[in-house]
Amino acid sequence: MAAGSGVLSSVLFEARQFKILTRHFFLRLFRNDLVDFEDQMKERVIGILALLAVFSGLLAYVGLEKYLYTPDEGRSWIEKLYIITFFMLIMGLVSILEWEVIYPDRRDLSNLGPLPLKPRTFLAAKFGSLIIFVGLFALSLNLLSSPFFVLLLPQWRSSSIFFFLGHAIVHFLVMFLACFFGFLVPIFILGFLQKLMGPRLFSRVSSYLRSLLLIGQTFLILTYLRILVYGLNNLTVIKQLRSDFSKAGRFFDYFPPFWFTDLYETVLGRPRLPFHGRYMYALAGLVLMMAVFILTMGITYGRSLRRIEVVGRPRLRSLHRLLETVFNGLFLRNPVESAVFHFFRKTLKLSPFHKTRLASFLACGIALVPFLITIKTVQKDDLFALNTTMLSIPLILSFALLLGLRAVINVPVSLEANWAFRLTEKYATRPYFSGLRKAVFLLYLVPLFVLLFALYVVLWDPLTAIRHCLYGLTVSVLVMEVFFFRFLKIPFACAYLPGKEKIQSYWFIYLIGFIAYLKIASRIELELLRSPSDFIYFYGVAFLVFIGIRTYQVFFLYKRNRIQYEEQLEPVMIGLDYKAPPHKDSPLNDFPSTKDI
Amino acid sequence: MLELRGITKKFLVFPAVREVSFSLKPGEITGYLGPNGAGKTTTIKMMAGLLEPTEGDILYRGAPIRKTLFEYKKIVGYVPEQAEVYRHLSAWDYLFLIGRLRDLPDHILKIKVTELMKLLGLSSDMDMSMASYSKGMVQKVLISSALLHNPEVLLLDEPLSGLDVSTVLVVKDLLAIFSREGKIIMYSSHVLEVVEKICSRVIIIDKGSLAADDSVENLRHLMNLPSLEEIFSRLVVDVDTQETARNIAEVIKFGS
Repeated sequence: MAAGSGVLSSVLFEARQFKILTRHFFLRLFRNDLVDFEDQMKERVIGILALLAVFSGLLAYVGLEKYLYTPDEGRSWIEKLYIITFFMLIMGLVSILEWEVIYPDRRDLSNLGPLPLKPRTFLAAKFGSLIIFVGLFALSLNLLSSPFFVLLLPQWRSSSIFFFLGHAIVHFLVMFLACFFGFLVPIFILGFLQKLMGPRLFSRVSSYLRSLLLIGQTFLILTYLRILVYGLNNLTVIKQLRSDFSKAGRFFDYFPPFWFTDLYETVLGRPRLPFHGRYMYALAGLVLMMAVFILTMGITYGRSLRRIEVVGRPRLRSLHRLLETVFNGLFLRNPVESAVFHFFRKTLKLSPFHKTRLASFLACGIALVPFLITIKTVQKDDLFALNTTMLSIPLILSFALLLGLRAVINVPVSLEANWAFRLTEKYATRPYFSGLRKAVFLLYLVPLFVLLFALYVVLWDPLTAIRHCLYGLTVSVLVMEVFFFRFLKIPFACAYLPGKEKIQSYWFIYLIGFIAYLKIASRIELELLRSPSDFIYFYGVAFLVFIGIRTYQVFFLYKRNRIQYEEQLEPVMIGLDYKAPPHKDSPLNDFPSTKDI
Repeated sequence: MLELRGITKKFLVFPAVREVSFSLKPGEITGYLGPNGAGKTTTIKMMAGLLEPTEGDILYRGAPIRKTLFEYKKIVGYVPEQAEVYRHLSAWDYLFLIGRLRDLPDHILKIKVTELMKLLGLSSDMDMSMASYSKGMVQKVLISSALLHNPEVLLLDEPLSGLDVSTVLVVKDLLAIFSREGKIIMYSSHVLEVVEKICSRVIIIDKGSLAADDSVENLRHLMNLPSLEEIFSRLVVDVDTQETARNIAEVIKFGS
């Protein structure tokens, strides 16, 4: 009896631990690399969930409206495929962004390690928190879309309330499984690579792998949106599939949304799809993904417990330092400039937070390129011709890069440690900002255009490629000057109050500005390439603009302003700042001034 | 000489330091003592130029430091109480960052950093990110960063926190050398035994105001007490420590 009650109390204790830990891990999932401050968390998450709910609701309405008047007759699988694809893409994106907090980390080890916690409770709670997390997103994705599916589609088959209810259960179940599958795919890929490479190598390259996945996922989402705008029927592959499904070959085997569409229809008792049978892939895939996920999480937890630190030791240390000495001698003679330059370089190299944020900007830029090419390029020859689409590629990439850098350097890496800069601050602030500009130019813009040159030299002749890349680099330098025009901070070392850009209010203006920039800059370049002797005028004007900006900064801006370590909140009400004294008979004269108070 | 004249620091309306005045002479190691929240760190941060006093002035060689802040900061070395460093950097990178910000040329920095790391036993770890460092290792880096530029004024806020015994002995001897060289040294700590041994003078602060300022010998003599610990208890501690300890023990036993 006593042993029984002992077991019971132990189980209850474990259950309580599980509940507390699940909640803890769930909340930690929202403190990811994209959220800067905790008080922003709720606002951002609710905003994102609401946006997803509205978009998927709109998608379902547009796709399913026709079933108000015409019976389904088994054709609704295409709309189901659409919505499942969208859900999976979104969940995949969420999973890539959440990668850092999915697995147990050093913080878990230091805080939870000393507690009487069984590994199974820990792992179950981690898994449970992910189920709730995916469930939350699945709920928001289904909130406005599912009523169209569960009300419009079954009405042509039965009017029984139980039939509707059964349809609803199948819909929610399949959608949740699809969301969970979409969430697990990137984790599976990264987990598999982690196992393949080993922890040391993986820790070195994981940020780059995540960036690649992010680029791939963004490209897929943009392509998906393109299909939504231009229609699925315009795609050649769909035309072929509609006329003869046998032409699809093994395509269905590699595109998971088909598997879940088949699962949906099969459970509803309508196994008439041309790709019927793939529902087995969905189930097997889910089991496999979960198994790999649990296995990799167990390994990570075990490694944490054994306190194996994955710390990279730089090899070729002396060579590194020699190269650094040569580089500093050439480009960074001022010690302060050198300090800011290397602080910038090291922080972007070593801080996963900043790397991921920069990668998300770059991913949008890189994914936009193939997206634009597939929209605008009708024939293969277009790739080798001088047109505004091909000319705008470097401008898109450099713009995304500069925008990303401008955004990430605002976010401090460890604000409490900035006393090091405050204590050593010099009267002359110019080297702080020139160090930053040199870093952006030498570490990011120059390598980007060297890579682009390698690409364009294959497509075009070397002289055109050189002209094109030099033009792009010059325009990018001017864009950099605009982005950092009144920037008076040390990168990664000053406080930042987000929201100053007012993206929610002005996103349309920003978008128009970006498109106008691309159109104008690529059009000018096209004209210049047709008459290369005119490049001299362009470089002359660019040089004058550059000198003008620099003169203003050196002689006015840097002389009149100090480094901004803190950012002031904008006033809720902006007054007219009218300082004239009241009239001699005004009753205001009877009040003491604020100085007296 | 570094002089504080009627320094007051208020956060919003709450005074953390009230009208504190004292002066530090070259060659003198001054201990700065006080209970938690007494205003020690706030005073030291003001002396380092990191905080501006609400009232009063800090003068170095007769000139207010707020007027010559950039010049003044060049001669100050500061070890903060909280080991706030850029932990994503290695010790090497961090010390180079600080050294370059202090205008030290790379070839001098290279020698200084290499030697300091060797002397403090960090050579093998100096290329690893400080995220994997222990508290003591970070403290060694902080001490090195405060000394890189050979400062005239050393402001040390709990500098021995987390250090191993041999490094503690090294730092104590080092402070004695600096004192002989005529540096101004302010040493804030809770470890009274260390303060008693290395400081020629002691300033005690309580609730933001000065409670005592004299040499340890004079304080012992004036208050007729055998040790600094007892002087400190008499001046600052206003609770019965033994009774508090007994109460804590009772609370812990409650319900078990």
